[in-house]
Amino acid sequence: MKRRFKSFKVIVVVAIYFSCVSILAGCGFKDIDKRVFVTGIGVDPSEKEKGGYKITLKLSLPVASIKSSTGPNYEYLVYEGETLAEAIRILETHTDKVLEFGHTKMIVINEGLLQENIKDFMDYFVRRSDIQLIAWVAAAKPSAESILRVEPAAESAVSSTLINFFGTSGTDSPFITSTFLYEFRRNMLSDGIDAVVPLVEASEDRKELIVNKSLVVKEETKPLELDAEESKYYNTIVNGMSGFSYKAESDDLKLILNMERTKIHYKIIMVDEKPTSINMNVKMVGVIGQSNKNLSLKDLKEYDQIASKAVKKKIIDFLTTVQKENFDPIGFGLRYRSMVLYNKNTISEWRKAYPDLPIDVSVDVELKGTGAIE
Amino acid sequence: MSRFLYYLIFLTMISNIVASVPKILLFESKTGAIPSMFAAVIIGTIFVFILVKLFNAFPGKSFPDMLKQYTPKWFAYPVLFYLFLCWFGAGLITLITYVFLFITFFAPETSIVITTLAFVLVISFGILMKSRSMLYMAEIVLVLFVPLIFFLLIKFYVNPKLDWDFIKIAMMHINHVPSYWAFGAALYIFMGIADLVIFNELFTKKHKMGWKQVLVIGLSGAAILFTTFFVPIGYNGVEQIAELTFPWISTSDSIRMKYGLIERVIFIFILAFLGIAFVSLLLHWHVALKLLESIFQFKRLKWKDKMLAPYIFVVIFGIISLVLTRKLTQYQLFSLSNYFFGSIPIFFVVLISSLVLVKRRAKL
Repeated sequence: MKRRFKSFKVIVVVAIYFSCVSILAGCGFKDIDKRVFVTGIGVDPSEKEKGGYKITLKLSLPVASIKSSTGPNYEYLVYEGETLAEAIRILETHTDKVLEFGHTKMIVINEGLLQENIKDFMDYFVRRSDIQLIAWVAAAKPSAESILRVEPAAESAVSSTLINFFGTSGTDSPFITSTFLYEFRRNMLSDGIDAVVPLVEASEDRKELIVNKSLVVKEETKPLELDAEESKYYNTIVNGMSGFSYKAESDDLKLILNMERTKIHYKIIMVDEKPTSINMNVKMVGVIGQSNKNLSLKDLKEYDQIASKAVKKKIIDFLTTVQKENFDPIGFGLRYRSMVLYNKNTISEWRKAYPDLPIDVSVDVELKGTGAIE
Repeated sequence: MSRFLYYLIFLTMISNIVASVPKILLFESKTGAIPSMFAAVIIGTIFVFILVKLFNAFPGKSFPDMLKQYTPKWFAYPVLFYLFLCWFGAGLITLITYVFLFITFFAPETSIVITTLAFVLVISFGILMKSRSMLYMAEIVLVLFVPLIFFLLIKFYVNPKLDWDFIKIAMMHINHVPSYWAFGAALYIFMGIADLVIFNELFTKKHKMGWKQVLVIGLSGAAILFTTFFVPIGYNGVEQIAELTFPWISTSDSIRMKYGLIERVIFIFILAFLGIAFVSLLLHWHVALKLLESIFQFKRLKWKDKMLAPYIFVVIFGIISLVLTRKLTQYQLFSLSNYFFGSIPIFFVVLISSLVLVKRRAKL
């Protein structure tokens, strides 16, 4: 009797398990073949209505296998609407699949949009929880759509050229500013620092992308364009990036320095809690990459001097240019705010003082060698 | 101190890095969160010290038994019921917060009922386990997830994009009067020790509670609060930090593992913390269930020598959470947790004073 009872129990359990199978039939998800991945979003001002936006979505089409595909396959969806959300809702009806934003790595914004109501459209990207906050933000010239539509010849089937520019996993150059979405939002909304985004341009034949300029963005102000040289110094100061071409010249000697390490310290000098000057210490370690003359190893100290002087002049030039336009990409204001106890006037005091603050820079370059030849 | 006691404390501490505590602390970031956190670390550690000392007087006894033995009924039952409400509320808030978080970031297309049901089903089986197995499970989960969480937290700190200037600016808001609500929320991370009301049954030896133990608890509490409060600020700025609905989840999306298996840390992060939160939730509701059982003993509700009451209670727990997750809005959840955390100081006072009363009555 007892044995029969036991087997009965087993049957019941098995029956429960099997009935559970019927629940497993559908989950809340949609299959991957019913989804299409949006890898880039472009935002342009609308051509038809004032204040509207033109949205370009770059969709990556799946390939069966990497070997059989000849190159990347993209599809572009373009629509104009009053707001981003509306335009994207309409674009959902332009394709048979679900638009999946989880893999969006690139947000490209027309240069002209980066001066007013930035909050207005950036809100959408942050509010949507499926868009990564580690997506890259870039400004585009002449338009976001044209930049997204560039398909360079060197692009391989499963990678996207535009994305590889940023971060250090692909090309790694001090000319390229890389800005995450969260970083852009943080620096743009905070007092005392201005956000910097890379400026992406296309070559004249529309076959190549060029990223070596940056834009300093501030709400309600025309953005300040940093050229390649200024972008390099910005990246050196803020991100400690270092690359090949730091040029140093004295009477008849021309050196190109290859910096390996850069360390930057800066502080705001204060008297009675009022900022009086900015003090910056730069320490660089590197080797000589190119020279127009024969060099001798025992003169390294002398070359140090020449290099320090040259780099110092460049950094001061960069800092004063930015300061004159009343932009603060480095975040001196933040540093000031972090040094005084909070009160309501801290920010306005800083704003008043910043344009005329003297900047002291001391540069210490240490050259380790002259490269493979003397 | 028994290592399990540390588990009880640390589980609650870690699980609150993500849940609703940071939201409340950051909401008050410009109006006195920092002094309240200082106060909470000191007072919380003192509370932990007192509680362990008091329970040391009654090795191997649970709080409901002590209360019923030494105090009159009109006192014992309301106190037990109040404690039950606190633990049930603690579990409920964790559960709802995590369901909302799951819906927002993980599976926006799944219906909220199914998500809650999945949570509730697992939890229901969990809280019906024996108290001893609960502790073993807590150990296993901690061993599995804490190294991972530690690794992730280190990643947050070593990332060069973490801007310490923002953190220092936030620290400059120290010149404020402590805010009561922030104090409650910060004190909540020390609540784990109060699980002793039930688990004291299992500890028959006295706990050693000296300077070393106090220091470990105080310092880890301070470190957890520091991380909870300042890391999101370092990644998201000071001015707009209060705007984020789930500050820590948005922060975890700011980290990437370039060469990791998954680039977006957010998914690993949520899963790891989900594990910890699950156990913390199980412990809370297990205590709640035991307290409820000690109040309402339906001796006649039996089936084959098994008490049916716990099963009924668990079903009620499940139904309440299902209804609330569907009804509550984000804002209501926020104010609910705010009021709940505000009641934590009262909770500690009630627990400690009734323990003192029991101790006096028992003339120990």
